[in-house]
Amino acid sequence: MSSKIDLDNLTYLKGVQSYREFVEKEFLNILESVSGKKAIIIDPDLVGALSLILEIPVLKEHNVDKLIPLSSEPFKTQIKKLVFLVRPQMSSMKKVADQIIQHEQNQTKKDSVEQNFYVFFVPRVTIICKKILEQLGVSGSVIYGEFHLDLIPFDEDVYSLANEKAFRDYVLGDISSLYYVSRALVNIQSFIGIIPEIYYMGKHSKILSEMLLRMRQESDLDDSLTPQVKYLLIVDRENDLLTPMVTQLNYEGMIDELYGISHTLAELDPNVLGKEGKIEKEKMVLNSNDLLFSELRDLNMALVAPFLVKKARSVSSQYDTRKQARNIGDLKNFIKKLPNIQREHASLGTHISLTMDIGAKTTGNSDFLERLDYELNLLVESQQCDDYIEDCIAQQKDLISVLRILCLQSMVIGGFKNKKFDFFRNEIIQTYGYRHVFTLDSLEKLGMLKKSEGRSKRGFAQIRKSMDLIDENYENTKHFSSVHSGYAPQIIKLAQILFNPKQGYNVFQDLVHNFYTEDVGRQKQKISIQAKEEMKEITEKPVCMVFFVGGVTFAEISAIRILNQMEQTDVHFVIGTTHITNGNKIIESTFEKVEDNILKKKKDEFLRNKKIKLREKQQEQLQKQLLKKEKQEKGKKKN
Amino acid sequence: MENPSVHWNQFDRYYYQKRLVFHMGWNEINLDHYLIESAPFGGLIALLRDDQKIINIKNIQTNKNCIFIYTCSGKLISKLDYGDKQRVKAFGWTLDEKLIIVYDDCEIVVFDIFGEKIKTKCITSRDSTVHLVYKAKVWHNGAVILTKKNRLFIVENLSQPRFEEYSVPENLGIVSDLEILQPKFSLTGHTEVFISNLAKNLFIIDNDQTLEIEFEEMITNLKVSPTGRLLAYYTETGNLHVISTDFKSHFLEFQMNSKIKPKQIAWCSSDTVLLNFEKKNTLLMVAPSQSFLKYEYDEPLYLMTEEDGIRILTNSCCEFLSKVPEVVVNIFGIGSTSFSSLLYDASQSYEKESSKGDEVIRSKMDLLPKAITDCITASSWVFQRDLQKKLLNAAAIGKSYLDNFVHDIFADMCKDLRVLNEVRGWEIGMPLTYRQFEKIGIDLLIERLINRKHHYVALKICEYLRIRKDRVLVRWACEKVKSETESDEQILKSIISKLGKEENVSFASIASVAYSESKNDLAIKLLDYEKSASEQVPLLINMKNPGLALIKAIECANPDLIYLVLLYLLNTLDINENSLFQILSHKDMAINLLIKYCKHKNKDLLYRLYSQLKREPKEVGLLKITESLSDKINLEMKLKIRNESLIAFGVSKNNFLKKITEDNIKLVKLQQDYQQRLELVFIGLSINQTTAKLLELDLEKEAKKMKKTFKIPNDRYWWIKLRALAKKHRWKKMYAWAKNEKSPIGYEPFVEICIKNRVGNEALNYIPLVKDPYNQVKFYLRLNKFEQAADIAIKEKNQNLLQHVKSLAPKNLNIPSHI
Repeated sequence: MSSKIDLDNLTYLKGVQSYREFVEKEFLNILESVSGKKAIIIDPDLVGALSLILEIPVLKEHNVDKLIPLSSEPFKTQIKKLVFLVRPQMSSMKKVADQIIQHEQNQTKKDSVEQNFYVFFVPRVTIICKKILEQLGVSGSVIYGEFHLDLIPFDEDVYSLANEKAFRDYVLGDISSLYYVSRALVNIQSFIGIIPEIYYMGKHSKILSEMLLRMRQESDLDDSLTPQVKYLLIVDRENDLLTPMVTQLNYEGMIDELYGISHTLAELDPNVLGKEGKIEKEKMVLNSNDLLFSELRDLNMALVAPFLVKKARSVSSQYDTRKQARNIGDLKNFIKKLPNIQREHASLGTHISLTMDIGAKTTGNSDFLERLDYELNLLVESQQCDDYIEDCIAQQKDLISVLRILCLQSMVIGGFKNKKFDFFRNEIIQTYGYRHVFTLDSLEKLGMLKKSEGRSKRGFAQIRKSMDLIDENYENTKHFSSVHSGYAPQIIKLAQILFNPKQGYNVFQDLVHNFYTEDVGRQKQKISIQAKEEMKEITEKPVCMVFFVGGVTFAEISAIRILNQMEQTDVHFVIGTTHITNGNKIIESTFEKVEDNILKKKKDEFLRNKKIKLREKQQEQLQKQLLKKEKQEKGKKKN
Repeated sequence: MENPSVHWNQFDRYYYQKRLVFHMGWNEINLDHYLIESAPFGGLIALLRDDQKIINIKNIQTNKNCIFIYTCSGKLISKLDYGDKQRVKAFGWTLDEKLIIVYDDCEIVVFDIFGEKIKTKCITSRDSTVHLVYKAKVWHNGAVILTKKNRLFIVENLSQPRFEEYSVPENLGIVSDLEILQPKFSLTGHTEVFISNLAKNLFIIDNDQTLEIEFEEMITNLKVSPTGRLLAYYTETGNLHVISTDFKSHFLEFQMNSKIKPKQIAWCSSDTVLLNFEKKNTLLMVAPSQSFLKYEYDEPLYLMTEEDGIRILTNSCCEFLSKVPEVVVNIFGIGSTSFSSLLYDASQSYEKESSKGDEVIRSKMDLLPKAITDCITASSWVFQRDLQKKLLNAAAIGKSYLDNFVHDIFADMCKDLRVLNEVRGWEIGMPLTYRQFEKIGIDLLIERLINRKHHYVALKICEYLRIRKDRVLVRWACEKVKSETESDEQILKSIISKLGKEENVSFASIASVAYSESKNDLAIKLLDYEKSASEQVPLLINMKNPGLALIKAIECANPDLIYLVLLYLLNTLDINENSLFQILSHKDMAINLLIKYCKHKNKDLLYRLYSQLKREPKEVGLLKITESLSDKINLEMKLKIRNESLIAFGVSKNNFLKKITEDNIKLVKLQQDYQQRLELVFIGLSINQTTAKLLELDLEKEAKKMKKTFKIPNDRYWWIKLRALAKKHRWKKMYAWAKNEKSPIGYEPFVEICIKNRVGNEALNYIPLVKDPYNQVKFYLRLNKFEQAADIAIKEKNQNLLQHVKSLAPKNLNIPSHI
């Protein structure tokens, strides 16, 4: 059933709750530390995160008059106190500096009164950023602070650093963001207690786990807290880049594929939600507060519609109880339930409209079905689809979707033959442009696209067989492979193996070692004897946080939730991640952003010139008309 | 021993006691000659010579620009040199005993008591006008300045001081007094300023409004009570008033009928007002009930309002006047019958080994717990140690009759009193009452002791009370480092022996002091003990030791610190590139960060770095291409750089990249040509897009040339042409093309593209060419051509298909139901 019910009584929630409260309180303290009216200028990146920890009306209560997205564009305001809320990134610093300098210049009239500028870094101030601000000439008039929001509670069981750049950084060989991941994990341990056992697989995971241990020594973490999370399994996206290439077929994953979900928000056309007469996009919140959604999110798309039908019947039968009401008491009972029924009714309406729109875009679309067919054939039988890919390129279909299937095939069959490899790459460059040499190079470096090197023992076919990844019967039994219609996400499978009492660490280690990476291991963190004793008294299933370095997909999140319900493991899983990702985002992160700008600039310039010319023309015409009129009038007068 | 109550004065409904705290240790100080400010909570006293007083030169100390800092016991701490030309306009103290000085040019400086400037804040003004101070007032965490040009500046929070300006009413005129309501007391949370003027007005000014009240007579003195709730003011005709600071209630009017202006108004216990009449050396105490009490002195006075009483300073002594609390009155009051009093008496008889006390105590066991706590509380008020002892002894005896009395209160009081007695001694001279001690807390007390360099006492107190002592040790070590008599070795040894085993000690801050004392070696050795790299690295950079700094930064993997070192290396002129590479060698994490940084900022360095690192030539080639894509360089340059990259790809034997790049160079040249000829933008387009654009322009020949040059597969060429023709709606041409040549991509795309462009009739042309009959039927159905669809089904002899068509067709159409 819904994941919410399962989690209600978990001890770990207490720690997590206190972390949540701490973050919210810290933010309110920041607001209070700046007395009087203020405007918040916020990194657009952070708006979503902020909305997850508090509600916008709360800002008004704390004298926040405006919430302005950070940019270099000047804006005018009467508000004296400007609070910047920014990520510690070099690019943001320039914008902060621009704003401060502009506002200082506007203040020349009241010469000696300083404007009040506050810059809060999220989650931490860096020396570099301060230095850059200093170089840009603003530091003197600024008060600095920190807002320690690193892991953002996306839901009761999902915690994300929301660092969308994490994967791109790894692509470029920059692993510095691991340091901040480590800080975040140390930080959360001061709320949920020290996690006694750490497992890791993958290069980055290994570095991270070592960093965690060292950082714990440096910080004075309280080891007397009862550990509320017993295991931490750190996994590396790099070891399974195949799964994200596969189309996500669970409800939430599908919404992400089709419309995109950012910080639990999906921006949808109003007609998708069945609201007519509106033009502006609607933001739909997708989390477990919507009870219906929490039941739907993990279901395979094929099961969503039948489920909704069942639900609709139950709602209408609830309405019917009114007719059966025999006396005032019955009626009173009904009225009591009414708000709940109505809420459920509204939510049901929204999800039905959404499901219909998804249906039209998927099962009602032969392109989509064709694509799915090829994907499944690849996954299940390693059946190649060169012609299909070639066709897609010839038809100049969206490059991201082309690369997704191309990479999927490359990873499934262990690479293309020399000639094919060059052929596809050439086709892509000729069709989509020269700048994609970088895209192809990055994909190659990541091992997502490669030349075959004969038969490899580590091939996907072997993995599929050894780990039993394909389950054709997913529709009848509850199995997490349903999120990809029969293909089980590899990392989730490995987590299942690790915590399955019949398999365990040794099996896990062998598998990882044989098929994925040499970097696999486990480490223990010391906890106090008292904490150890207290931990023994916990009767619930211990909690394991699976932390995805480099991103997790919604399908994988759902797979983990289903795994929790399958009752085959000794632990209850929750999820931590650097960010939530999908195939499109991964492919896109390999794009070099150079030429885009030029083209856009040229286009902008072109349009601007066009506009100017148009305006000039209009003015000319106007003047001509005026002249004409004048002449006519003069003529009249003469007459 | 005499009963303490003999020293009490009954006044109003209460008893007051004026207790002698210290005989002043100073010599020949006449308070009359000085402006005086004392820190609250029994803090230090600052004396500044009053220039307006004529003084017999012989009697004063000679240092002219000095503020003398004394303890309350009159022990000289330091002579603080406040600078030459500037004149002090106001001064005061922070809670941790730093001296705040406001100079006449609006500069605010915070000094430590040994004269080191800790913070300086000026009004920064764009047009460099100098603001001259007219009146200023300092409180423990801020200041208010009224300038001669009637501008009012407020500073709140001296740890991060900033000026805020309040608007001033135009009719301010000549000011008679100025008083502050601290932000923590005001309703708005901002500092409120009260200003009275000669024109009998009182202004209440805060950050966004001014309130003006007219009075019948001029106000000469203003004073806010220690709780911020009440305001006392004195008028020119000698009337004392007390009102609430929200100006809603009036509590007292007391007529002195004396035109002498008091030198000071002060508060005792937030309801009683004291007036200090300088000329008569009289102290007048006025209660809310209008009753009053006079104290006569034969020397000048200075009054310091405290939370729970008033400190009185004279040339010869320091006294403390306060209300006697009820618990104390209950015990020592003459004829008191309270049980606490009986308990105290009983304990006294125990001392005399009499058993009488036992009976008394057993008589009312139910009242005993309260009596015990009363004795403990009373002991906190008392200054004399023997009396404290007696009271605590009474409590201890009472306690022994009870099994379940919570011992902690007693033990804590004993500890606290021991600490208090220590600081109340002449040497430290801080007459803290227990209430005041509770208010400022142990942290601030320790801070004061450290500031006064009483490290040993501070340390002992920390150990005694079992609180963190790292702060004391670090500050001690910082002083130790400055020692000039000891060698570096000795200093290090004694610091490590004391601090080595402590947790949370910031060795970096000690090292930083060592560095500023130019003891570099000592600093580096001290840094080795520092656990936190974020403390080590910046200091090592400051000490011009980037190599070590980089190692430490990488050790903790903090990218921020690594960047810090890298930027230092790049921006420091005296570090040449070779030593940069040397420092970087084998430090992958730093190298990757540098590469990332260089990609944005410094491409030249990147090439040299690549060659230094012996990176693959392919990478160099790719780097060149990135560079060639930048919009900052012109086309010739781009081609030149791309040609260079060919060499790199050649060396690395990467045929694919080489071919692709050659193609690209060819393409750009062609595009350049088209661009000139056709005056249209081509550069930036892919091969597909270029071909498409040519076809859209009907330049079939050129497009064919593209196809040939770049070996575009036939399929793809057909697709390009198909889209181009459709885009330009050249349907006739498309049909002619389809008829003349055989399509390698079938004819489905033709149908699809026509349907997509809503030219159904055109689509019909191509359906017969489609090979697959199912697809034919499908297309016909999509175009609502049911009869044609049925024909195909019949031709194919497919009954099911026919049925399907019929089911979709409108009823009025005559579709046969069987083949």
